[in-house]
This record gives sequence, structure tokens and C-alpha cells, in this order.
Amino acid sequence: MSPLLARCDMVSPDNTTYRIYADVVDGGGALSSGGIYDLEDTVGESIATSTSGGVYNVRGGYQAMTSSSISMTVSDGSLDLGNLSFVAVNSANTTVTVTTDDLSGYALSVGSITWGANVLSDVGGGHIVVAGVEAYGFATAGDDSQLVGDWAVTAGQSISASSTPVTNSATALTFKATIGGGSEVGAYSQTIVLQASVNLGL
Amino acid sequence: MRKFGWVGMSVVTFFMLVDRVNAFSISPTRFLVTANPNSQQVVELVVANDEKVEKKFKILIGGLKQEKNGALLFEINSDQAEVWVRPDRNEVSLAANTSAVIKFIISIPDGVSPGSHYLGLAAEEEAGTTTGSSLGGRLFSILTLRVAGEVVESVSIDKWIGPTIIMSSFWPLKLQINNNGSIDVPIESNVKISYGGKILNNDDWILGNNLLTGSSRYVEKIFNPILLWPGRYDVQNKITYGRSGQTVWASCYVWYFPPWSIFGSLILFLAIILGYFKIRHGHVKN
Repeated sequence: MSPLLARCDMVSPDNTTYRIYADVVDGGGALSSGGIYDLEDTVGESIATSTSGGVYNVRGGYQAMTSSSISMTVSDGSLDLGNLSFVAVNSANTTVTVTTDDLSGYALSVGSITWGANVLSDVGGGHIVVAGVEAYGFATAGDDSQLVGDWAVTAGQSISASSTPVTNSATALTFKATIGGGSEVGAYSQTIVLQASVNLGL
Repeated sequence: MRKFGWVGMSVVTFFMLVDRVNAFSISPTRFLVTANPNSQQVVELVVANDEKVEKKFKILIGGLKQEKNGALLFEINSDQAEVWVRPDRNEVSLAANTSAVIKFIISIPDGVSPGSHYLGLAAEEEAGTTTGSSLGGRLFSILTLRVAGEVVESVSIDKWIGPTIIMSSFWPLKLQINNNGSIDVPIESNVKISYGGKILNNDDWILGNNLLTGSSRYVEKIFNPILLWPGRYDVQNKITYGRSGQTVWASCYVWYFPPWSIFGSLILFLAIILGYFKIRHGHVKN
């Protein structure tokens, strides 16, 4: 098929810049719409609903990209929480900095975690790690921070987000741990992958 | 394994030896590809090491899941389309302030059903520590892969719940919708509250980004509508979605009794009772 557009820029309705370099630009095909409508009442919620559905064709051979970038920096250091005790909450800090020129902004979350030989109990979401009760979690601070209180370090946990482009948006992460009377003796360690991407966009 | 009996009996240490994750970046951040079954396409991702030391990056492909708030989760082995995409290398070493172009070859098998798949094309900085304890960084670009053919847009309202009876003028309203179709859809919401057939409130709700196939979106709001008299209010939420402009709606009914109406009803009830006894007492006297 002959090229219709070759490496040109266009602006989509949501003002995100796309670069199109495929040889086919038609993503449409005939649009058809219609649907079945249905009404129902649900006791208690007194709900009435309708349903509908649309069908159309997607044509292959289209390719577009958003010409923006995203960068990430995790600041220093060895996060060593030291010798855990019953009478104190040990903590260590790091800072994650994200920059993106994408109009949708970004989202930063915990991507994956791997424990070493021993595992500490997670703190309850939004609760506070307190001395004497085995718990491990983290708190965040920063303009884009999504969390209040201490949260478990679990895959998928949101950390910070913005719906606009950001330059050097910093989020401080404070990891906290304490032990209780039933805690296992030994060394605890964890491998964490933090992940960031732009938002899906509208 | 021993348990702690008393403070200081043994030592528990917790360490996360963290190599500094140097600044790195990827571009572009989002791809949209439509492809026929039994066809191949290539997209290119630039990975840049923005720091002054050499770094090694793993190149990964994972499926993307959407949470109820619209956030994306990168998860390896979660989408059948992950095996359709192969990078031209699985890792890359970059000298200080250099970048590399990673090619991803997308091969759509024959006989694949039309519809959307959502993948993350990721660069992950490898941990440099030998202890096995580290904090790493991963950046991923969003690849929306649409297999050509006839697709269905279908969204259902799974929950539209308001208070059944309420005295307050602040109404908690909960909405949950689900994408049952085969392609992601843009979504808009309009809430109308009417009383006696007259529309008193007309409010557009922001539901966030596109709703991916098989995903749900949950929105909860405290709504402060304009209200008139006590009675039953019809609260309707109309969702407009997709490129074919479909709509789906749901209504719930809220009985609103403000405190003054209850107080007034009580006074009226007491007046009726008193009046009744007064009249009855008068009849007895006569």
C-alpha cells in the first residue's frame, strides 16, 4: 500500500502529539451502532439500568506514538534499617525523582518485591508503624504523593502521580520497621523495583 | 526457629542495600499499533543512561492491568499478547550519557481474535549489588495493540448506589462500570437528579482515562445537590462511551427527609392527636 503520510506530526483531539509513520492512516472503517435496551428494578438499590453495545471495524497497519519521554532517579544510598528493636521504629529514607513532558503526567508505584529468607508483617494500609508490634511499611512525602500514613510495600501500590507534565518531581520514601515478641530472629532483606510510566491518557 | 523472649536476646537486622539508581529515561512513552493477524510490525524504544557511569538495563515486556481508579499495573505473564512481542535484545549496557534504540518486533499470529491488548515495554536498571537486596527502577512505555477486525464496544453499569433514605443534603453516590467489550473505550458520565419529573441537578462527572478491556472503574462521590421538598428523588447516571457513542444509564431512587420535615411532621402529628382528643373530649362533655 502506498504511503499516505510519512513521518509527520498530527494533533489528536486531546492535544497529545502523535508521530505517525506507518503507511496506512485509516483506523476507522464503517461505524455502526445500535443496541438492546433493558430495564430492571433491583429491590433495595431501586436501580434501573439500560444496556447498549456498539460494533465497528479496526483496520490493521496503523502505528502512532507519543513523542514524549519519562525519566526516573532514585537517590542515594543503602537503606539500612539497622538492628530492629521492640522499643523503637527504625527507618531509612530515599527520594525518587520523576520528570516527564507528557501531557498526561505520570504514575509511580511499587513494581515488584522479593523478600529474603525472613518476612516481616505488613502494616495495615493507612495505619502507623508503632514500636513493639511487628510491622513493616513505608510512608511518602511530596507534592505528588498519593499516600497518607504508613502502607505495606506491595506490588502495585501507588506512590505518587500527577496528571500534568512534571520536572524533577520528588517523592520522599521512608521505610519503617519494628518487631514484636513473636518475630523471627535473623536478617531481613527485600528487593524492591519501583516503576513509573506516563498515564494512559484520555 | 527461635522466637524472641525478651528485648536484646538476639538481633534482627533489616537492610536494603541500595545502589544508587542513576537517572535513566525512555522515549516514546506510548505506542498505538493496529495490526492484522499473521502480520508483523516493529516499534522502537530509546533507552538513555543520563548519568556519568556505565549502566546495564534489562529489557522486559509485560501485560498491563488497569485498577479500579484507572492506574496501570505492569505484570509479566499476564497477557497472551506478551509472547507476540520480542525485543531485539534482552539487555543493554550503556556508557555514560549514551542511549540505544531497542527494536520490538510485533508478530501477530494467524487466527487471533480482534480486539485490544495492553503491554508495557520496559527498561529496568539491573541492581548492582551482590547481596541480593536492592531498590531498582523500571520505566515502561505503554503499547496499545489492536488486532484488526470487528470489535465490540460494551460497557455495563455494575453498581449505581445512593442512600435509600437520607436526612442530609450530602448524598454518597457510588458508581462502578465494567468494560465487557473487546476494545478500550473513552468514558463520560452525566448525573441528573430530578423531582416530580423536573430536573434539578445536571452534573458531569470525570471518570478518568480510557477504560481497558475487562477492567472496572469505581468512582465514589459525596454529592451536594439542589433539593426542594421531602420525597423521592430520581438520581440517574448516563455513561457515554466508545468511538461509536454508545450510552448506558442507571437510576436509583433516594427518599429525602430533611430534619425540618421530620420535625414539622411530628408537630403536625401531635397537633392532629391533640385536636382529636380535644374534639372527643368536647363530645363527651356534651
